[in-house]
Amino acid sequence: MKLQEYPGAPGLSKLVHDIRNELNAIVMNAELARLLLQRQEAGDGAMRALDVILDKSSACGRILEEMQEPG
Amino acid sequence: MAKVLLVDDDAAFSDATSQLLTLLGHNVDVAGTVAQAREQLRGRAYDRIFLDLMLPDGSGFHVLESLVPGADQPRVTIITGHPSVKNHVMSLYGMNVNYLVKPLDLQRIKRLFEDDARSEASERHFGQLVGESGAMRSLYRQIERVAPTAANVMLMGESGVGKEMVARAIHYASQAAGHMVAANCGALSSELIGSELFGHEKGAFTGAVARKSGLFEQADNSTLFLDEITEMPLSLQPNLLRVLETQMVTRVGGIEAFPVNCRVISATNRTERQLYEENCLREDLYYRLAVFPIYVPPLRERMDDIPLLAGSFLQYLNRENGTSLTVGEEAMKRLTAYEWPGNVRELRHVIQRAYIMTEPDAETLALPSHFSSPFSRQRSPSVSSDLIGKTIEEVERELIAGTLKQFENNKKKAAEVLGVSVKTLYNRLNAYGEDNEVTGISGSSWPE
Repeated sequence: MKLQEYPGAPGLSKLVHDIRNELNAIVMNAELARLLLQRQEAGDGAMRALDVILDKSSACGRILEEMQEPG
Repeated sequence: MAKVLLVDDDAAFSDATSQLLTLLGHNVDVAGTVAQAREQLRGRAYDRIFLDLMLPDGSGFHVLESLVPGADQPRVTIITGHPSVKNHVMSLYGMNVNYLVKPLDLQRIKRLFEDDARSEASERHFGQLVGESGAMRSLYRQIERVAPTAANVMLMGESGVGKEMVARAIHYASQAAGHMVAANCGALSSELIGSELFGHEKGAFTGAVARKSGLFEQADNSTLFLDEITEMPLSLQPNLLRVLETQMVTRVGGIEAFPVNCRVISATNRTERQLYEENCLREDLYYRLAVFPIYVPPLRERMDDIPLLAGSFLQYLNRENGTSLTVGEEAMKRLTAYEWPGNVRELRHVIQRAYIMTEPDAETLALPSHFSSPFSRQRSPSVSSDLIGKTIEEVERELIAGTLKQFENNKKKAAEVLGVSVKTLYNRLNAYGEDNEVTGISGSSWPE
């Protein structure tokens, strides 16, 4: 089912906005981790970036669950 | 390396992006609120700002509004979750602002910086000016000479020639530390111009609820650009003169003067003759402002630059919109055949309008059927003020004498240019009875 067709999605644009924000952080932290690994400068920086990715992925999951809750 | 301000309240995003940009060799400051961003902008000059629209204490647009109008502004990239914001951004803030839709990725960010570097390297002199004509090369030489000095500069040139761009070029070449501060004297109310220029103390007048720093103070150790300087009321010009003479400013309602160190670049679209005749600028102020006067040539005196300018404007539009339009041969011929009375501003307007009107699947720019705007009036020869007050006969004598002098007393050529027969020319000279006096030659009889 397309998002626009989802019947119980109050404030759909807000949900999309929230997901975009989480993805934004995920992508940039993934880019950071990759660059640090490429340069063999991984250390704590890459680990922190990976932690953020995991946190933000969980946040995305929660937003998606909210969308599936009947409105 | 670019100086970057990243404005976003999402610490997870801004921390990572800041580290990434630093690893790529840029110098990054981060702000999480409108207030923090404004504070950062007060103290530093940035090449690029990444700006989230939704901030805890306001909108990213509030940050844009706090940029000094017309100053040496940074490029701004709005980070938005709404692609629809594109048109709003472009229409409100022009060509120096673009947008990226979340989620961002490193490639798109890298491309922005590569485009910046390419744009700056694409024959932009002093980071601002486009053109390789003789007139512009002469201008560049003058900028190179005056930039390292502290001399005040007066830019003279027609409307639309790009005087503010030249001011920015001088500021850029001077390597001054801060932003160039710009103001249009025609836009400042006569009641508040003193406060705008010199600042005011709290309670100096009704509505002065707090101390305010003036333009001179803001431009300390930098450049102050005063456009349309001749629009400043004559009654206020002595105040400006005093600051220029003493390098000291006293805020309105204040007692103590404090030193300021800034170069003033002023601009006017009046000619030197008009400055004198229209009495719109005090003579003593002129000499303080125009320590180094620079004439900015109109576009018709640098027609060779039209392809470069048109290409530069179109390149920007292509980059902003992901297109690859070019200017076709016929279109370029039309662009270079037109006189551009509105100068570079009119050319840019035509290119922008044509870009919008060009079909999405076209490969070349579709120019309008004719070029004109309500303001791009054709120049009509005006009556020289030298002629006012003279009789027609006196004017005719001067015209004949001048034409004969131009053609070294060759009456046949002079008659052709004047649109009369040689016989008529001789008759006129004889009628004046002063052939020798008028032309400096003898033997004025018509050779039968």
